[in-house]
Amino acid sequence: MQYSVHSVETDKYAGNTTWAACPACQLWFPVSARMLEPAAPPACCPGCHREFSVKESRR
Amino acid sequence: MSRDLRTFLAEQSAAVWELPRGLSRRYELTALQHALDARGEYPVLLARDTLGADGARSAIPVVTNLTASRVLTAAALGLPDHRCTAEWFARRSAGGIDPQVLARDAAPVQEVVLTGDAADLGRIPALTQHELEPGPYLTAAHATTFDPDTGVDNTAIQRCWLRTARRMSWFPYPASHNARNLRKFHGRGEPCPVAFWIGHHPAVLMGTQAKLRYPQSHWRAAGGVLGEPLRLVPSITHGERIMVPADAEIVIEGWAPSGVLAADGPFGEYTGFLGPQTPAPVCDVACITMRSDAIYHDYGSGLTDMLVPDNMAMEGKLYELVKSVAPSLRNVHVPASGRRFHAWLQLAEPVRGEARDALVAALAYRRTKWVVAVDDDIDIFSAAALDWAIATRVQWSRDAIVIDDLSGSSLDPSLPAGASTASKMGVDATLPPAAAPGAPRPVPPVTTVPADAATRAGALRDGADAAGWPRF
Repeated sequence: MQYSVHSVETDKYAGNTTWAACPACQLWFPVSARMLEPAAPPACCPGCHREFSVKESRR
Repeated sequence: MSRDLRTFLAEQSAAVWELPRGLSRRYELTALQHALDARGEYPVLLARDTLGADGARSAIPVVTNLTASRVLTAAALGLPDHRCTAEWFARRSAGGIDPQVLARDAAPVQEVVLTGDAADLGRIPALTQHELEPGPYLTAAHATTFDPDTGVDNTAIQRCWLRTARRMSWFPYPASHNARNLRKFHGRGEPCPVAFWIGHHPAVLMGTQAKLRYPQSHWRAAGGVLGEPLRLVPSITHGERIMVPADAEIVIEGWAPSGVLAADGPFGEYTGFLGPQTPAPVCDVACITMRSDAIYHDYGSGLTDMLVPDNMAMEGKLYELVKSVAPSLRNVHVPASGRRFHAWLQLAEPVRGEARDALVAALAYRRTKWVVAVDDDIDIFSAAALDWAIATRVQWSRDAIVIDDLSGSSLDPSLPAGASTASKMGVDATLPPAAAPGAPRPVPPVTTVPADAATRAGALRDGADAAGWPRF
């Protein structure tokens, strides 16, 4: 065997994307993990541009 | 005369499709690029009187799909064959030519200087390219900053969302040299000076994408790729601390304040997926300069328009990296179909172990994810030839190398949540070498027909009556 395995977390089925939904227009859009950090700016709905906290939205 | 965007468009007028007037900058131009990509057609697109989201027309024409064609992009470099880019780009960008500094009154890009409320981002006909993007983005803005420790400048293409008349968010990828400069200024509690220039000859666009060390200016590399000194001029706002190309079309100058982040995105990335909304610094605009008859350049993000020049520059970087450990390297191809993740290496009679050395060197580059090494009988620009090599020259447990936890792109949609490193694979698809010079390789011979029979067969086909040619 010539290859090394596996220190990377390999749960393919967990996915990797956090979704937020705008509380005003209900538009879903992907947000990075950094948007969940305390110092993150408010999310901005790409549809209606309303600002809101990702933690308060559905995901 | 110095070469720039308009001299290139004039030289290559046969490659330009001037579109009907009145197309929308919201999705419509980008949809056309998607349709052309799907057909394998790559004209340069020139759009006049385009409409913004509010229906207002812009007097500034839009050029996009400028570099969607590898053949045309190679021609911009003066290369007769796009397959010769890797070694050429490595040599020319490393060699470089010193830039030339012009006085302000000689710089076309400063024919118009807008400050105060007149420096309104709404003047710029930026596109909203894809659904779920929050508004118009600059996609071909070359952000120029400098290292406050050394004064050495850096330039990179980085997206900007035009949020208001005087403010845009700007996304320097965290590993980028611009992000490093930004962090240094902000670490001192100072705003980061920045200028974004748009529109130039494709050779300059590619030269400033050369992958360099930190801190290292891109101006010399751009001159090397262009084949003449890049003409620079001090920016209006930052003076000689940030020079900008004098023959660019538009420059936006400003400051990125410390401690201010805004949610930026989602944005269509090179992967063909939307990158998520993420915190990004902002730029407060101090000044906009442009030519009196400026042309706005847009890259189709995630389309061949953006992948082709970036991947051709990557070929140069990989050539430099791999050649230093594998002298048998002949050529490199980074196919647009693999985004920036795949690279094919062509080696000429590598010695034992050399193909694997080449693979490991190429995988160490952050952007690569799958690298295949083949012999020089394989055309690395032919997907069919590569498939044949992989099918017939590889035993996976012997020839594949998987290495975890190498630096990768956080934009890779296959990465696990929170991962900052990637799992990568190299494949040695070379044949074993002959035991002695002149002896056959220890594998079966490839099927061939005699050369004279091949010549006669070609002539027979070429002479066939096209009217009666069978359908299948």
